[in-house]
Amino acid sequence: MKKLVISTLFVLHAFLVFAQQPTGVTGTVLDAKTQNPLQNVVTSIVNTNLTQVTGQDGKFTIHHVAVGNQILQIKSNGYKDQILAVEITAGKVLDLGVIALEEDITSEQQLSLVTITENDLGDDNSGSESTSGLLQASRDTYQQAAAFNWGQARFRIRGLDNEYGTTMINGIVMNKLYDGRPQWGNWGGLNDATRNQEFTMGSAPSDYNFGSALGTQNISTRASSYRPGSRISMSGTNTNYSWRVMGTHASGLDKDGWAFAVSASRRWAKEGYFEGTDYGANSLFAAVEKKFNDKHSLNLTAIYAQNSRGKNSPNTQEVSDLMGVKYNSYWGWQNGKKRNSRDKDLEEPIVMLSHYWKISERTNLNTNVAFQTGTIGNSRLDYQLGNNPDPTYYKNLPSYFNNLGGYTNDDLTNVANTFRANSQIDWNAMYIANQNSAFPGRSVYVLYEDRTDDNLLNANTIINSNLSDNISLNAGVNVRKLRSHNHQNLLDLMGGDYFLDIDPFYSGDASQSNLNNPDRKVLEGESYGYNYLLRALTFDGFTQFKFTYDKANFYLAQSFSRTEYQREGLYQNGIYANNSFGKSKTLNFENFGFKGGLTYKLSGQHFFDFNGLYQTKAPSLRNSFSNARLNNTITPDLKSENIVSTDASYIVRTPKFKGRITGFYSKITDATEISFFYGEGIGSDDGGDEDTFVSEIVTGIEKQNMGAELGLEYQITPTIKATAAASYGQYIFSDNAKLKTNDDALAAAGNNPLTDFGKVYIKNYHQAGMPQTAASFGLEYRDPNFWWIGANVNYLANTYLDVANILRTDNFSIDGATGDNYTGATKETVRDILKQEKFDNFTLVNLTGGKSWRISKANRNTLGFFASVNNVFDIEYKTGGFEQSRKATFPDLQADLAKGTPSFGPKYFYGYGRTYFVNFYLNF
Amino acid sequence: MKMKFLKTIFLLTLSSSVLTSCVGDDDYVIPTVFEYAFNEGFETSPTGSGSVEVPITLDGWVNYNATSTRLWHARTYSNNIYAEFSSNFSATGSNDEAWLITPAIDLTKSTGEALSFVTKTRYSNGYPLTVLVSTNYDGTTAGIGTATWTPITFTAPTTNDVFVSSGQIDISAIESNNVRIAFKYKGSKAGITTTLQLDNVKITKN
Repeated sequence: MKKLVISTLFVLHAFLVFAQQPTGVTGTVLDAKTQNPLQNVVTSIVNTNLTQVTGQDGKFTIHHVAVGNQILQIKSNGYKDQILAVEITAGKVLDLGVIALEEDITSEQQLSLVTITENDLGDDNSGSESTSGLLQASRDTYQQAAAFNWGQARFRIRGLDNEYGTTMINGIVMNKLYDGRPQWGNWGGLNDATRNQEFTMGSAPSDYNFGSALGTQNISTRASSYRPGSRISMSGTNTNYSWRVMGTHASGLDKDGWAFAVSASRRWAKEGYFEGTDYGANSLFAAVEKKFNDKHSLNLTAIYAQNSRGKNSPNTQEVSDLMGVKYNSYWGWQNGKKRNSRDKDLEEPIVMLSHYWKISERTNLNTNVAFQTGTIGNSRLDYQLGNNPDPTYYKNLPSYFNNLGGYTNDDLTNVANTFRANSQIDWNAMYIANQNSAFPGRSVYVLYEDRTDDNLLNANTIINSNLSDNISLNAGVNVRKLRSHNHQNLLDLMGGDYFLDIDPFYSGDASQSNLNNPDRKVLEGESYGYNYLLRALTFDGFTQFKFTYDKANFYLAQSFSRTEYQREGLYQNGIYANNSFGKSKTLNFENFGFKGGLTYKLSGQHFFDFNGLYQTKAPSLRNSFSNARLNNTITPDLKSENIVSTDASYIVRTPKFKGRITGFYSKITDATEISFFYGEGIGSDDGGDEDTFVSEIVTGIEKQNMGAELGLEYQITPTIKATAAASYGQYIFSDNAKLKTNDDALAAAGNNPLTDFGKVYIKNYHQAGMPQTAASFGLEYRDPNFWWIGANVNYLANTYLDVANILRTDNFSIDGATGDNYTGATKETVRDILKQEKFDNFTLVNLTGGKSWRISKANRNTLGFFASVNNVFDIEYKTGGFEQSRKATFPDLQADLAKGTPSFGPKYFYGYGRTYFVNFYLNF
Repeated sequence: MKMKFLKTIFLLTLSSSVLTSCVGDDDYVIPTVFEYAFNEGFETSPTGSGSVEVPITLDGWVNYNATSTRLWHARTYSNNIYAEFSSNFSATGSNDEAWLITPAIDLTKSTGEALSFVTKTRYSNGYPLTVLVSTNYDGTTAGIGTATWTPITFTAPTTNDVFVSSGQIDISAIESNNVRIAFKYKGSKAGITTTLQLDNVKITKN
């Protein structure tokens, strides 16, 4: 009886299986060049949740596909996407046979990109870099133009700083809590190992994070997802480094369920494109995965990227005119070597444990725990009661004497010649000054670094579930705990025995960095000056529902986050004896966000896409304590930012023509910005020479970014492709803001250090440091014999100088003594002198090309090279710059400008001239 | 057809939304710069020095001593010309009531007017200056006595030898095309002899 039941069940089962003869599509994916099967290729039916990954044999089969005309998409990193129209018949699995994927040349191009994303903008010591590193592996024509062609001119997508983008490794957010920006250098030089990336643009939905207005980038380091094989490459370039070697090996998943991937690289330069910019970087990567069974896998990732590089100085027009645009005032000769006084050293290794749990066919849970620890140091010269060692110090330049008056042209020529002869840092003179110090043994000049030692614990868990055929859910939580130790670290006594931990600008208690340990003698490797901890604890979570239907897809998502900040002073500063030592008040922010979007399918080839986002964002740690180096003061008027962002696109995808046009708008309100500078004519002007160190607190900043972007790609013949991309934007400050300053000199004299300057009149000024207009046209020829060549022309315009806020307050035009206009200040003269400088437009031509050879028919061994020449015509152009805040009143500024060459004119950054990049690689 | 229509609409909305709120390179705002309904810094007045006094004879101004003969006169110091009066140099036994009155100022065509001027004292032995405003003064010396003068409160210097601003005195409530500001020095050789210097008489407007 029992037997009968069981066999009946079996029969029934067989019958049912027969009845449900699967409906679907199958095929085998091969590399077009080597004809070897490709593993881990993602195949999916467009507009559904149906997705499969190819196995070791390159095979895939997608079941349960709806009957009728469907679009099959085949995607793999390093290869061009394939889109196939398929007709699915009930009860049949359509066999597509062999599908050959062609190598995507942009993946080689990616390797050359990194060289232009590692500079710093601005004069501050901010730990991270503010250029766009996003989009390296994107497929979008527009995004590729933005990254490869416009990136060198510091183009920013939608004019947004990358603190509005979310950069992740395995869903773990890598944006720094300190300033919200990712530190690309943490995984720099590991291009092979970080190739598995997913992008979303604007506020479009990501599976890993709620994101913000700019988009998301997720790097996956799951060992089994790397294509098995090895790769060695060697590159030469003349950008920020000269040479790079890189080696990578991935095993693929073996029978016992193990997979590993390792990569190592070294990049170096004795001198990069700009004078005295040395470079040395070593990067190591390892990922090991163990697949326990079909449900559970564990992946351990370790990333170690160490980087040390010399920075280059922004220069005034006067200095560039005298010395050329490659001139860098930060270095000087020492023992026959160029020594840079401003190095950035970065070493923040990451370990990450990831658990992949396939709960069911429809649901995956991914949990990651990451720990990152290490240091960032930005070195600088410090000196007590000596002459300013900066060769471009204003009193060394002809403009100073010219502005003083009474000097002949011959005198000025002599000054210029003296400057040219002494245009670099004089290390020897500083060593001699230390030997001849008025206090024997006590260094006058030292080299120190602004150091940040972070310990960051980061954990997240992300669920991804297909609730039904049409509805999928993404949800995640992320917890971050940061302990950040910030201090001034003495690097080099430069021949002296000790340095004194005082600020000689002040006297008595005010001169003491630490009243708990006054007049301390500082030795190398010790902290001095300032010393404090920043602690942050953040929690954020999101849920997201995506709905997929024939005519339309749409999604809705919401997020919540909680942020806690605290400062703890380790020194009791003499100026701020009462609020510098010990813990500050804890700052709490609770933030939320909503977003949604819709893709409407006019047909299989024409789409409309809309996205909308509203969110609030906690201020960064950097902006939360207005004088963090010295005291616990919380930034006055500090608020969370509000972000509104929308975009609308029209998209065409035909086999020969791909196009997208998008209009976008975003508004950020209540933003905060803190900067530091030496000022004159700001409150406590003592008429002295060095004036006073001021932190400028601007709150209530309102930014409006709107514009349109376009990307077109047309396959003219099977071998020739034309691309066009354009971005036309208007990125402005859409309202005035408020400005306060914190002046240590006021506090030292026993006064309130905060001065309220009221309104900053910045409405309708342009956001600085990026071309607001960009256009590109390119042609590319791909020969069937695996060589290719491409050229593109790029027009970049409407880049603006960063304006000084303090010059745009009433303090500039109104004389505090009379309450009336400064003499000569009329609406016309003030408008004229405060006009924002717009840089000249420029056109850059870039060439790229490459070839690869198949070495053996038996395997996928290939040898190839990639070469590019950027800015072929060696066009000189400014990428950014900033006004100095030192001449803060109308008569002061007017006097400085009177003779045409100001002593405190704006400082500029320049782009690279003609540069090349050559990469040879061997895949085996 | 339908799709084309949609496309057009879409592109139109897109481009119009981009173009409508275009901000040009010259649309930026600037910090406060006052504009003047009246502004006199005495910089064009011929000056005297020592015992040579050159009375102020600016067009439309009234310079008159109701009780004696000496008048407000122009002097220069450190490249700045200003008006000055002091009873120290008046004849023994004389009294001074020296009026320096602005031309008629029209405040009917502006709003938000504020008056300011700067004064400096030297050898102070009492404060001699009153500032008055009238809207019915006829501009003659005889009319001074019959016009209605309203005193104005302002900030006076408390130490010698520095110009001190009167502060921004709100006179936006006065709506007349015949506004006259009078600076009246009252002193005597035997009494107050403070040297009073006056400069930068301004009325700002929005």
